[in-house]
Amino acid sequence: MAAVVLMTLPHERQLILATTLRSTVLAPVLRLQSGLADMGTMRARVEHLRVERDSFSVKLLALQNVAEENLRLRMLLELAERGTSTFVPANLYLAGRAGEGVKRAFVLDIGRNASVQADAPVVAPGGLVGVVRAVGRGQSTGDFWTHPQFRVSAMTVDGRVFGIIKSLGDSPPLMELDGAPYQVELTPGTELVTSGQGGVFPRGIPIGRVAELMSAEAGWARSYRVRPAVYPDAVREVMVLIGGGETSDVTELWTSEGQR
Amino acid sequence: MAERGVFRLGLLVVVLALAFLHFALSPVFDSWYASPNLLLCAILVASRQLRPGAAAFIGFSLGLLEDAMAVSYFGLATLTLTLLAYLGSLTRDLFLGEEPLFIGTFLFVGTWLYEVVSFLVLGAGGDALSFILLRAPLDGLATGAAGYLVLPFVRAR
Repeated sequence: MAAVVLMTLPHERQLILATTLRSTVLAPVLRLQSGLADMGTMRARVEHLRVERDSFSVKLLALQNVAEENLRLRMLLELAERGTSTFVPANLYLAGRAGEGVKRAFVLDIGRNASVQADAPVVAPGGLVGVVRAVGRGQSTGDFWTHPQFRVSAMTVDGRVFGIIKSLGDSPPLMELDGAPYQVELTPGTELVTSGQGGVFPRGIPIGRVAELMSAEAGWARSYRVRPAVYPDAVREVMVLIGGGETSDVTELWTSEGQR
Repeated sequence: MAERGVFRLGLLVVVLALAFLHFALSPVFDSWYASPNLLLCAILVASRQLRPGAAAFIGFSLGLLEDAMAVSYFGLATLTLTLLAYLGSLTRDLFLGEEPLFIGTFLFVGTWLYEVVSFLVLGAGGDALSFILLRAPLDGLATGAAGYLVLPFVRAR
């Protein structure tokens, strides 16, 4: 009876209950879980980082002069620093339960202590990962884009076609672009980014690429199958948007110029 | 009377240890193709030793923790594990004894049932047939093996 009551609780209450349990009874377990997950990934990355460090130290020497020159020129031209969005790095751990073929939820190792708030977008170098749902003191929980209730407003990079992205629930996970206008047909490979509409995700986060046309409601709308930019199983380090993001444009972070 | 108290304490320690390991080792188990569900193992093993009410309470408590780890479909694990614990306890009237083969089969069936129900209710993606006939049975076997290992610690004297 009590279990049925739990299922029928409002989602906000369920989140509060889950957050309370995670920050009390499950807190030591989560810390150990994070440690174990870190150990696994760290072992593989140490060698990779060693090689990277060597090449970066060479590059850094050359870049120091360029950076100083850049700063002087900016001051001369009175230009502000680029971008108003603030991201914080976080480690992501998969959360799930038996019977889940595709992971839908994750836990981050940062929370209120890093100014993370509910509905904060979570991104990876590849693009959109998901959204934070519940925030605790030192950790938070969120949904991947694979979650059945996840929706994000999307558009083509040129801003001509808009639609809503949702998960198709397949394995391997794919997305669906729904509600795209009938008059314009998108070709496979067309890149989709967040449109900035809806007040949660800033404009310009890569979502994925159009794979194929799924259906066309005569004279009304088209829907496409979309190959995601980021697969939940392949992401461990993420960035969480903590300020100025909802209304900003982060396109430049993913353009070749912004990544340079 | 004192022996009974020691037995109950031992059972509680085993249940808590299995639950702890279930959550702590989940990143390790995630990378295995077939992994034991230690939470279910704890609940089912305990349900064979307890009355239906007490078993259902353990199923409810541990199910709540499982739900807290993944906020989607909150309450599903609580409900399923409570029911499984209750039904598991009722089997004490039908099947007597704690033969390792019987306990292994009991854990196998319980795990398979739980994973298949979760899979169907969650509407999870992927090949349903492969999950129901291959993945869930393998998890069931692994859980059965884990149960076999903890059995000496919880068997009623």
